[in-house]
Amino acid sequence: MVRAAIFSGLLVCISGIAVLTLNVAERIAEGATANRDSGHWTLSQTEVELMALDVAIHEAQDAAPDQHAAYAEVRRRFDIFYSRIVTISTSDLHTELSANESFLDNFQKIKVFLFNAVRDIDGENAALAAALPDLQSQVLALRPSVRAMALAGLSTLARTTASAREQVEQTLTLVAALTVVSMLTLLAMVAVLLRMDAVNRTRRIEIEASAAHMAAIVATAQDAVVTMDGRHRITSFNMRAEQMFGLPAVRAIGANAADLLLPANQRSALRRIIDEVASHDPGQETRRQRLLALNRQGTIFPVELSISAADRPGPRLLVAFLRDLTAEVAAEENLLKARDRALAGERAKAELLAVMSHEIRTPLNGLLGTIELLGLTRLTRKQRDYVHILESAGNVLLQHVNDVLEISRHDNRQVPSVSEPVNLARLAHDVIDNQAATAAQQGSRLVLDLPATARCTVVSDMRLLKQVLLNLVGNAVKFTRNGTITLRIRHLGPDGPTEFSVQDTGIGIAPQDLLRIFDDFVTLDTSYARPQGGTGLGLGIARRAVAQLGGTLTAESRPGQGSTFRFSLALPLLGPVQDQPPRPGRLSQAGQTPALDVLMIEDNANNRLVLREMLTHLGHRVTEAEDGAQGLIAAAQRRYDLILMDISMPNMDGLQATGVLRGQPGPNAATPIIALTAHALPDEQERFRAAGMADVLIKPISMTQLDDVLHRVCTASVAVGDDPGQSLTDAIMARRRPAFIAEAEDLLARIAALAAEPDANDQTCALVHRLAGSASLFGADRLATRLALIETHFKTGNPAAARTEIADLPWCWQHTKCDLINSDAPPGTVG
Amino acid sequence: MFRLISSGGQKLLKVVITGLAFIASFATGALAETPLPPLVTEPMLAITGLDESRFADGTLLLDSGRLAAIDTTRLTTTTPWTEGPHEFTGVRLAALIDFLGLSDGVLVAYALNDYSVEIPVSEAAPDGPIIAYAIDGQPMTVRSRGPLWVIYPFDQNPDYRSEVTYTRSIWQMNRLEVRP
Repeated sequence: MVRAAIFSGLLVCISGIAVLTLNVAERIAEGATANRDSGHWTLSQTEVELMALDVAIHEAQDAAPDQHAAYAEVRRRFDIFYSRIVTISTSDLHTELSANESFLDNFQKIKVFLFNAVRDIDGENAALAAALPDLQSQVLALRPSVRAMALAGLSTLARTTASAREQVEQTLTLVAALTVVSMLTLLAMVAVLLRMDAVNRTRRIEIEASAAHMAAIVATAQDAVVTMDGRHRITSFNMRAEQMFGLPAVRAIGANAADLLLPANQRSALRRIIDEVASHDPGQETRRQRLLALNRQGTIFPVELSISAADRPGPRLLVAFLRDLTAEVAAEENLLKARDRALAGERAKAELLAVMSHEIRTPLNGLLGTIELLGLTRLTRKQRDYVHILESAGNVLLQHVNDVLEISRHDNRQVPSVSEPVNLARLAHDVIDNQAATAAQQGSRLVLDLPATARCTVVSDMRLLKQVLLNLVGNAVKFTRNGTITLRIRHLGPDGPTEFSVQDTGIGIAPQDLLRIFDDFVTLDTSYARPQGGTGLGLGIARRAVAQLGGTLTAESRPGQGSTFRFSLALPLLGPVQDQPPRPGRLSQAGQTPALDVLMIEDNANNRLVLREMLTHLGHRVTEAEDGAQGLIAAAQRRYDLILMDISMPNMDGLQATGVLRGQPGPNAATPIIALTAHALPDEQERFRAAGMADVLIKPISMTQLDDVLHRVCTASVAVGDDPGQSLTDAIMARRRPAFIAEAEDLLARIAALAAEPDANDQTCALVHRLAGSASLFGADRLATRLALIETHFKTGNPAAARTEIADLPWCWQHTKCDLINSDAPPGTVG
Repeated sequence: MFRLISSGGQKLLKVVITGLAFIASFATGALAETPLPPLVTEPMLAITGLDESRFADGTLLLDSGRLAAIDTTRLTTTTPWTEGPHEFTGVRLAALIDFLGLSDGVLVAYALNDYSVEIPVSEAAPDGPIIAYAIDGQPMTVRSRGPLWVIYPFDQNPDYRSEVTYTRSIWQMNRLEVRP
């Protein structure tokens, strides 16, 4: 816009000047030469010369005829006049004046006179003398004509002069006007240029400010800012870059970026990145990359590079930001190390617990077992009292050990929750029965509040649930005297959760203690000082167990009025179920089991003693073996009804021996083997079962336990198979199948995902174990067997084999699922 | 010297010397030393005010023959007073000035009709005005603005087309007066 104005202004000026120049040149050319001689002089001289002729004629008339001079003078004056007229007629003047009619007429008259007079003039003197009077009168008559001609010529000349002057005036005016216009245009252009200059100045200031702003940003940036052109040459290098690389900017600028800043093995990577970014449109591609950089001292350090092409016209400009990651990488490594340490610590702790558990249990077994045996002997009253004290103290100690172990297992997530059918009514009754005696001793009453529908079965973990309820009810009993303890189970809505609550009318808990009581090792001081103090872990275990089951344990209390402990669980209902005969009570049923020939393989002498005494007391025959090898020798010699196999033995442990027994033909290849172990972990128990053991006895072993197991094992060997799935009706099975299928698929997916991670073996194994339980529950025996095999692989330290098997699971599952969906058949026939 | 040479030799010598002198006079351009032919016709131009050491009474009379002897130049040009170009024959003013031995000053020219004008000697450029006595080969009568007309080469040099020059283009000139 401005440019157009300037150019048009320039054009006006130039054309104006051209016109001016042409015009002026014309005028100059005109003025340079005089067109003609002075017209005024010529015209007036004509009159003068005529008058001179007149005078000459006059004088000649007065002179004597022999006065030749006078006639010469007449002739001369005539010639002069004549030549004047001739000159006028041939001159430019004539051309100019010929426009005037008066001039022409009079001029014609003069020419006529001359023409007539010539004859006389050129004649002899005598003829001339005679013609003189006539000439005189002619001249006299001519004088007005000459005058008129002169005047006419004058007026024409005046007009001509005037018009010439006007032309000059016009030209000068034009010159002036064009000059003014040119001047104005030039001034306008100057004004425009000045304004442009001012604008440019302002812009320049703005640009400088902006550039300074940018420069300040780049200079103070915490990242290194390196710019380069499309040929990888560095074009700028900010202060942070200088610091980072130990290079002054002057050295960096112009150098090849990859060669200067990176070690040799990283250079091609950077070059590739730069080329990729450079080949895209600006602003479209930003590449980030972790690289190793090299500084002047030769130190290699990690950097994060972020590079993109700048969006501006002109040659390619690439901008790279480099962040020194040394600190971050170090922090990452520290974090990893800390994590590894923590994990290692966790593992160590778990191992410690496992080991400690074993180490403590083993002597406890000896202790408690012996105390029990002692109790069977004949004792004095005082001795019996002492035995009671020993027994209760021993049990407390055992309880403590169990509690601590339980807490640590919960915390180390080693407590898998099982999904099995649980009859809530029966469970509740068991709990009440358990605590009835103790409550009676306190003068308190136990009340069970169940809705009619509580007679149904839910899917949950019986052990955990029982543990929680026992704990809560036990606490309630402990802290209530002559009061009422109510165990309440309620279903909230048809599909709602199940609420469990234990309410007592005991001493209550102060508000400031309500939160504290859940903390580990916290017991509240009570006026009912009991010989049995608590470890303070009971509520901690209960809380963890409830959390494991999927709920939250809460407490409410009013000091002096009582407390209520509550939790809700989402327990899927299995529908009403037939009552099952209650399980056998705790009381010993000595003598129910027929006398057995028992082979005991145990390395610990004390334990052997205790066990032998117990077995003998129960009426069985015992053969002892001190270790695995001896046990095998004994087993090869004759058939036994039962083998009690200690697990932890030197040289050959129980599992190995079992494996040998089961693997080789011999008299005891099919003899039921019961594991004796201090390892209380259910996973371990599963291991034993998988190895071919019928059951597990956990040390310390009580006689009652021993009797139970013996009874169970021996009757079970006659029974078809202790498949808990058979106790469910077909209807329940059918109803629960979809849920199982969903659960199984979920677990399989998780197993498959975890199987890929080498660190997750324990988790994978736990999931496999859980699924195995559910699978056998729903009669998917083949699947369950497979899962058990996988579990064994994990536990025998062969994760590779386990993974191979896991890889086959989907195929196996497809078949199982197919069968499950298509089948309404009774359990046991499902593959 | 003359006595030693024979009469024939003397004649020859005179001729040679005259010839040499003549040539020498051309070489030095001292046309002044060369005598003019005697007057034949009525003198048409009288020059006065000359150096009395060279010219009797400071006066020189020139007729057409004498004028022709000084210089004969032909000039074709148009003039404001004639129609079309004409060929003028005459004496270059520069030649006349040289002949008269003038270097500065003014020539006052007088005409038959009592017109007079001053022509500075500096006007006498080699390619400047001529004093014409013939037009188109014909001698100029008084009626045809003779006997003498100072003609400037108007066509050859447009600078001469000015008012001042026109006043100096005196016709019917018959007398020149030299003024310092």
